[in-house]
Amino acid sequence: MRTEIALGLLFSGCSGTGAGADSVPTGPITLADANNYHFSGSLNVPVVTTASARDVAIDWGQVTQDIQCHTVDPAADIDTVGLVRFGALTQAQVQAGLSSNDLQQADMSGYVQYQNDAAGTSTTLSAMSFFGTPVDVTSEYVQGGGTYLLLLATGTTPGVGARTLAFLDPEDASTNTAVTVASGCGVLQFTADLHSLSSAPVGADLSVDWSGVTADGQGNPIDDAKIDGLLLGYYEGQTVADIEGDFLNLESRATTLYSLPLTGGTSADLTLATAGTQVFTGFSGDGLWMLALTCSRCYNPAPPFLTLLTPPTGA
Amino acid sequence: MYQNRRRRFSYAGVVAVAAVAGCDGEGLRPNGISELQATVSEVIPTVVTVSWKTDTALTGHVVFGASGELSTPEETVASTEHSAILLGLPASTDAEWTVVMSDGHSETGVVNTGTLPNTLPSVTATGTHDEYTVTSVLGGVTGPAILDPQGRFVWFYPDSHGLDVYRARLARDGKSVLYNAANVSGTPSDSSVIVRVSLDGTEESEIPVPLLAHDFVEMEDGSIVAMAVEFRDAGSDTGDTGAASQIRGDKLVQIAPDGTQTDLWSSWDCFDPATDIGTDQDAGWTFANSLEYDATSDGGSGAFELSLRNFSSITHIPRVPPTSGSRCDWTFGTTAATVTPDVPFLHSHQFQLLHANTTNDVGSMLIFDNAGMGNASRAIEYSFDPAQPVAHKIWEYDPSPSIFTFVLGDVARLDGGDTVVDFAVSGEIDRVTPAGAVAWRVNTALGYGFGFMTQTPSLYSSP
Repeated sequence: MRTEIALGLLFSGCSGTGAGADSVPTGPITLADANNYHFSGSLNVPVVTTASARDVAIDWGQVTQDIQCHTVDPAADIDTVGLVRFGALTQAQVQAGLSSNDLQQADMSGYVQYQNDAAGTSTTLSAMSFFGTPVDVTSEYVQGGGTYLLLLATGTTPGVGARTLAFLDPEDASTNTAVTVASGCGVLQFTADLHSLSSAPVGADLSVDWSGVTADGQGNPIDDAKIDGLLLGYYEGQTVADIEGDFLNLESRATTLYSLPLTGGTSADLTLATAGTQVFTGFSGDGLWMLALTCSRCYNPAPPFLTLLTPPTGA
Repeated sequence: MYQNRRRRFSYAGVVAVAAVAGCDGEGLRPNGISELQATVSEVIPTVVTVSWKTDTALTGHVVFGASGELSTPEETVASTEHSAILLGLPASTDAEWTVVMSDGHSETGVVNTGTLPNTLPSVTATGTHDEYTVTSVLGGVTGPAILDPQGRFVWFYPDSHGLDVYRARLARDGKSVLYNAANVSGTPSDSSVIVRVSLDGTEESEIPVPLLAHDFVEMEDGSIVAMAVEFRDAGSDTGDTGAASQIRGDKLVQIAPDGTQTDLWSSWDCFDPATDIGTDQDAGWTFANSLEYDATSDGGSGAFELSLRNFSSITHIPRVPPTSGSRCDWTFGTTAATVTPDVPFLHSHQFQLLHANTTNDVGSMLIFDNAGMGNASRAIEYSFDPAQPVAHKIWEYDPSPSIFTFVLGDVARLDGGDTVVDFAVSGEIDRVTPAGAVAWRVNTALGYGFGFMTQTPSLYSSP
């Protein structure tokens, strides 16, 4: 396929030959849907059946990896344990909604949380509360009461920082009152296609504009308001297949990874991006350059937008 | 005939100040208008301040918006120096504005508003609405906010107190927004405050009011009456600790414009913890959760109406204490009730007493009922007469699919008869017709909700 060939050339260090990369822009790096990667992913959230209308002990001491298979210290990294109840959605619908980031607050019919201030690895349902209202286990956690999703998160901001998750399924026939949350690696099933995208050409202007992007990597309408970060990665001696095959470690694989928090809008100045104390000053090297727009508040960790950049010849 | 002039003012990421006068070297133009500036607020980039001068003392106003549908109020005092704040503009929008003077002269420009923080939730809106919603955002970010009739955020001020914001109101001074920063999750905060922030977000002042609860009202004289938690000793020994146990009640605190605070009312003024026992006593005794000031009540002398969550009751507190009898002259609901509903409500939040006349409290009571149907919330309205022992349900709205709003919730009856129902922490606000049809609906993405709300047809109208 033409695009694959073109990208293959690009990855071997020959710039400016990919689709969309045959002209050097005079203005900012202008991103469009054709530049975006394709991501197909689904969540396979484990289900733990418990007794209904009874208090349940929750233990997350075995959560040593999150859904991106990154290492987790269950005591130090899990700050909030939340239980969300969806009144009218099935487990499958919740999984699909989490994957596509389109669940609404009104889908939820209850939320309680436990703040892990003591850096422990266990709590109980009855210890959870929200706005001062504790959960009445006997009436609120029952078979047929809805779909119950347990979220373990880093940080205390609701909806941000989920590391792993599990469905709790109260059943009258069950006597189980102990939930052991499994490690998150494997919950997220995905494929990332970076071969089919058109790389974005880069000129002298080190600003980027994504106002023309309409869809995210899953083909859903992109919500610019959710974009709150930009990553600019340089991958020395790596191929696109390497990155695709280890997509969840996109950040750790980078030779140099610049990041830039975004507060809104559809453009950014790349010279504000930093890698530690190192400020991005321009494109250089023979490796791959990747640009991603990220969403820290999305349950699906896949970047809504990700593309490869074609620096000008001789950069 | 003077010609309108069109100038472009741009937003450059932080703040844009563009002066027209002198741009073309003409200074004072033939229409007598000079030194035009349009300044996008650095703090709230949907707010634009337009200032200008005239060669003679005049009054004026600014017409603005995508199609000139908005207008600032006409200035009340003629002057040669003028300023107007443009409110109601969405983010990232080219907005045309026209200064219109009382002598008929005008000048036009265009300004591009900036972007609001991307920490705000995504909001989807369907249907049509014609009011602004003054509310707060809770969840991933918190602060007072205003939605326009299209469901777009047109004003947002991120609160920095590390507490929650439950209520925001346009202030009576026409220049600011009032909101509370408090914590009703478990232990109330000693650091809670009432905050006043200017409409452009550049000025903030606060009044510490320890143990603030969910709600407050601003009185006609500019004072504020707020709900706060009050602890009193139960008078009994708890044994092991040797300390007297405490009862968590509520009080109303009046905060004068100079900051002086006076307790107006206490739960103990009307109720007895030994005999008036509601639900969920572990969380508190009365647990007040919303407040209204009813200026037309008591023959115009005014009264406070306070919802008590753990009583599932709303009590009526005349502003002028009665010379005899209970400090609360009627209580509608379950615990300590003088009027009971034929269909019970449970843990209600906001409500509205809709007077049938101006001489008494007869009319109807519209209530946000958190849990009267179990795990489903609704708006419910009763025919109400405080002299009658039973109030009968006359209307209700249950959304489909059902929504369970376990905290907060609000209702408002609009002039045309529609009702706005705020499912608050469930992140949905519905405008429904008397027949229960949804005319307008907004939803937030998972992780965000709304606080209480007020509806207003104009951001320039006095509350």
